[in-house]
Amino acid sequence: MRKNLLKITSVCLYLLLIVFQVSTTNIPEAYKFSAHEIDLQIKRMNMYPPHLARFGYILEAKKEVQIGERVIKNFFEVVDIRNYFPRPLPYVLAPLLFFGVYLAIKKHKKNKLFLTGFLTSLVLLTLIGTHAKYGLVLLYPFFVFFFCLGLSKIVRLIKL
Amino acid sequence: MKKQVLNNTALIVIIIFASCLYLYKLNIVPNGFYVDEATVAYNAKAILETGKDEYGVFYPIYFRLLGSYTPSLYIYLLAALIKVFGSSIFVARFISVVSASVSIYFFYLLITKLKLYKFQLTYFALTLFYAISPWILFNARVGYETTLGYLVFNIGIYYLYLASKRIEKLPVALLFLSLSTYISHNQRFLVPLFLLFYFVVFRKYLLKKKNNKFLWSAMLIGFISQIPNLLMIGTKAFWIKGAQFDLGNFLTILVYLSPKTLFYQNPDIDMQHVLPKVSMMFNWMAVPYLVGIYLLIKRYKTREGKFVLLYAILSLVPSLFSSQFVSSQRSLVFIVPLAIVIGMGIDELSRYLKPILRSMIFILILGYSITMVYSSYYILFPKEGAIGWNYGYEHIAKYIKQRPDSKFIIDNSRNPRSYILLLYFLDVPPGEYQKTIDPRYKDNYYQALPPASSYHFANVEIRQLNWETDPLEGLIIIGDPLSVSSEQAREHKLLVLEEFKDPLNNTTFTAYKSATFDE
Repeated sequence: MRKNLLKITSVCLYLLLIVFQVSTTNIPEAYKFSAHEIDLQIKRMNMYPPHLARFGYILEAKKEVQIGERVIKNFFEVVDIRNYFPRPLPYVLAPLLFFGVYLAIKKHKKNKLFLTGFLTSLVLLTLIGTHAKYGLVLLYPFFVFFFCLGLSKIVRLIKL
Repeated sequence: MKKQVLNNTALIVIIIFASCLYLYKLNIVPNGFYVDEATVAYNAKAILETGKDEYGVFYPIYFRLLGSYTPSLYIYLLAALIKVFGSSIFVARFISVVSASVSIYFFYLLITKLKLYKFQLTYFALTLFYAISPWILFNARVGYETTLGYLVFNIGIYYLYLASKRIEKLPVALLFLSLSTYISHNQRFLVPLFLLFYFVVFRKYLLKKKNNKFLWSAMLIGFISQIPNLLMIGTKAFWIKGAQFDLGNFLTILVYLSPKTLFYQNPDIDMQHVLPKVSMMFNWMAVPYLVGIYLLIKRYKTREGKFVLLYAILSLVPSLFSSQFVSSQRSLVFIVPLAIVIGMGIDELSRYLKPILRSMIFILILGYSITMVYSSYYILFPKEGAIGWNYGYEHIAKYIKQRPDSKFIIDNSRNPRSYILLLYFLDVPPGEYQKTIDPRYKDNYYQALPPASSYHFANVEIRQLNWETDPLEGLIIIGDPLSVSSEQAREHKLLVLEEFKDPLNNTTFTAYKSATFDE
């Protein structure tokens, strides 16, 4: 009963955090093309030889492809280590974080809720982009969880 | 038997396909001739014709080149190639084509020996994706030593892995690893470090009494083959890259491991290394990479797990020589453990797919990868990357050759190393150029003296412009768009003779005639 309450509270807090992240993220910015980007698209499209003009249009200017590329860009922004290290998190915390992620995946059945939440956050941020007023706050609870997991394991190993 | 024939055929097809990709338009893509390529090619030619490098030093162990003191083997090999086929951009880049092609074979051998994958298809799919990856394609087409060094190092690593269970392979491994230190700077630092950690990790097996004979013979081979390097240890040339080493940047290695760096956007500060729209590997590989890291760490206690981890961590050490900047060239060796890890991810993800779906996804991803690499490397890169590859000097040389009686001044403020491009394209006889060199460079060859700031050969002077005297002489001034402003041209009565354009139709160089120039 108490365990369930904890789970429900965690999910509710997570949903609140999602609302906060979405409301403080400038989503249109992630899919907007600046004048420079449009100019580059046209320039690149014109670099293709005449017999590959259609191919050039699809790759460089077709709207659906460009949106797909934006989603890919968002994904790589979200998983970019440089977004988190050395600022706002110092480099020394990186091994703890990665070790924690490793431990969480290793015992994925036990950490199912956290891992599902973490993956959901990654997918959501990939879709809404990274132009967030307060940063990618949706990931921070999971970072704390992974740090704690890594740290507690290390402490246990040292004690042994 | 039939399976073996099929496997060999598949491997040969992959190597031939990749070699064709590496050879396609080799002389014009990359568009231009980078200073590092020109200096290697010119010194190879100088060795061939005079037995001395451009500074007049007889068969050096390290070539001063543009101040890098590059290990010499690549240049001697290129000299032999020039002897047979003549000097051209194609020939200058050909050794890298062969090196990258052979590296595919050794990559396949290594992954089959590591036996990390469950599906046979993974071995071939991975070998194919390795062969056509942007990082390998790029390095397969450069006219300098890094790819050959990478190949010889990887052959050594392959034998080193074999030696971790069959000690008799250790002398061969040492021979190749030692040889690689005479090709590229990266290997000079990597090899001793790798051997040290290899011996620590695999000491239980290596130090068995029955292995003593091979251990000692390997050490003897290593020592004898390192004598030329040891002779150089007291010179500044030997430590030239060591001065750039900064252990304080150790954790910046994380930047190299970031999926964004590897699969989306190459943050290399050198424009020469950057390809449009792709990074070092294909973007879809990010997912198998993340899965693969987990699987590798899970297997860290196994022999192959230890070996790949060791390989992955140490292969990034040369990047510490780039300070806080990212250098995709220094971390080239990292591509092998990286590809192995990606393979582990591909293999694991394949488990969840039915065979028909697996084949369909493979074909789709292959089509996407080829499209990406073709569009980036063969269509966009020749135009967007031309300036980074010193495009335009060939045209300047042609222009100068057409005017043998005119005197030229080339402004080198933005590119102080550009003299070597003109030496190469103007085909200046090395014997003639060696006579113009300040004897200090020859007498203190390995003492890393600062480079000269002006050069004079044929009818050309290469230096910064002297606004007090140059406009008064009867000569042609050639410079980039920042060399001469329109106000300066008006004030000094300089008239535009010719504009040199890049493939994007931007002016790269302008030739001006001075007021007193008489055609």
